[in-house]
Amino acid sequence: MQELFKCVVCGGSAQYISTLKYKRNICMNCISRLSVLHPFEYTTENNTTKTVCPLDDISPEQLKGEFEKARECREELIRKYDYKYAVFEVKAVKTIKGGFLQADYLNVYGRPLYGDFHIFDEVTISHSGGTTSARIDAICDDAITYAFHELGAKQIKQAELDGLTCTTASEGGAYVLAFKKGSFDVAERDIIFK
Amino acid sequence: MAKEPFICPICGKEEKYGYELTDGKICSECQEIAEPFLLGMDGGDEYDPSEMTVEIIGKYVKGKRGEVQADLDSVPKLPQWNSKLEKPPYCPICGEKFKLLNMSMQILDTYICITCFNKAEKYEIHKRCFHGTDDIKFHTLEQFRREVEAVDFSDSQTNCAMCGAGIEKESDYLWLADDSRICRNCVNKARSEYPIVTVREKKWFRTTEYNSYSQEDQGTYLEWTNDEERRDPIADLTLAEFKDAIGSVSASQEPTANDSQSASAEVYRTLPLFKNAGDLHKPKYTGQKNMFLLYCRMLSGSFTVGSKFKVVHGDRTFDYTVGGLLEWNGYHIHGEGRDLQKVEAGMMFAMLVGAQKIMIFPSDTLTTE
Repeated sequence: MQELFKCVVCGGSAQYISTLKYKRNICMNCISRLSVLHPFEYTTENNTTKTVCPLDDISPEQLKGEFEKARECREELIRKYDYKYAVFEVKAVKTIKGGFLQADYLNVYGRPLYGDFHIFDEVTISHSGGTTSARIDAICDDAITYAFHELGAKQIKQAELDGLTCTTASEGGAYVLAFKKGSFDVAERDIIFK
Repeated sequence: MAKEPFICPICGKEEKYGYELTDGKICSECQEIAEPFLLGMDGGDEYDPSEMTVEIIGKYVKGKRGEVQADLDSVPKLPQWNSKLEKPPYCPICGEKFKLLNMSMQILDTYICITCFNKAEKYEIHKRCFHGTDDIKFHTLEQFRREVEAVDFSDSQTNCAMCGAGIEKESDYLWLADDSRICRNCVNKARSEYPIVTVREKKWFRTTEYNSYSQEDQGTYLEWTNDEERRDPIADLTLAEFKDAIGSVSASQEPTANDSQSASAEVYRTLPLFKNAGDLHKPKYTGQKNMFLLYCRMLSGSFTVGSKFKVVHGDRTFDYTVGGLLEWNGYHIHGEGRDLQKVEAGMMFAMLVGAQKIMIFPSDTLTTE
């Protein structure tokens, strides 16, 4: 008596999530290929955040055609942002006070439009016509932390121990990037790229 | 997600959650009545769990409720474990004499030598899910004999049945359904059409609890498992079927260009490689990242270590060099295996690329000149 988990697109099985509407399985490899076109959505109800799979409303017949659309969508973005390696769109910014002898931290909430950002990457922030470079000190990918968690000088180590931080911010997800505050500023709708 | 209700085939009641049997579901009320029977506690008899169908449980439940006369004599019972078996002087499978210090294992109906038992264990590990020694010691002598024969036949093959390459290590081959061995290189050629699948196997199994004080068996109990397991679909093919599969894979490859050197691969995912990833939070290790791992599928041609490839975005091309090739079964990321020198069309593989930044994204195509 067996229950097979097979990806409807590639036929393999890798870290499956099952979609709701059509009762089918799709693997993370195929989701990551489509995530530039169909990013994950998060809904908050009664202080709990849920991740909504964006592929729920797509029928299995349409799904195979979406890969070409996703590639075209990424190519357009690459051309639009002048062949940058990766681009991150800022949605909100929060300053976390460091306290006595501790540096302040900037928490930048948003999504990668395309490409991946990794921890300790040297990135460029374009703000009000000028650009400054900064280093990513921590990345958080939990949907709950998008709304409630703060990454300051004290909290980063604890967040690492709690397993809330990650090493990569990949396209399709919502992330918090933590920067040590320097002589630069970040605001809503700014672009971070590398 | 709300579960869809179902109608209990015994009492006709509509419920959302039920108790799963081999051929259907029953409601929680019927399950409560049938529970001692399902667990083999009713009168001390143990029944074969693979025979627990809705029809048999329905008879039992209706009998308990007084609706019909319960008739359980027809239900196949499990063979009982006999702890007072006499040990024969010779192993009934290989004929070796049991010496004073030779280990022997008791199985359901006799004793066999430890060498034959280990062979059966090897068979179980390769062919199906192995839940430990207690799982196979309930096999009969006939089952053991078949398994030992299969292992002997497989061990006699020192070359790949497909390409004839020599097989030295046990990890270098795969057992097919007809006990023939094929090497991992041949397996990799068909991997893109037969990726590893996850199977959720629902079966009953039993283990024996051993009381260290009384040194006696505490009896057996049955448990419903719900574990996910990886399964290689190639292992379910016979040699003839595998040859057909290789033929169909090579026929479905994209036609290569006139230049025989051209090759192309499709990217599934990209990952950076950090040195000392476990100590990332320590300042002295920060920023030590200069390599990427690309999980790919070879579409046509071949890549070797050191070959150069390009990625085209818009009107620009980005050139990279293959730093290393690793085996990948397509199951999950970080699932890469041994080093490879060359990858051919149809293979799933992981590629090392040395760079600080890469302009390679999922579903991009890597091509050689």
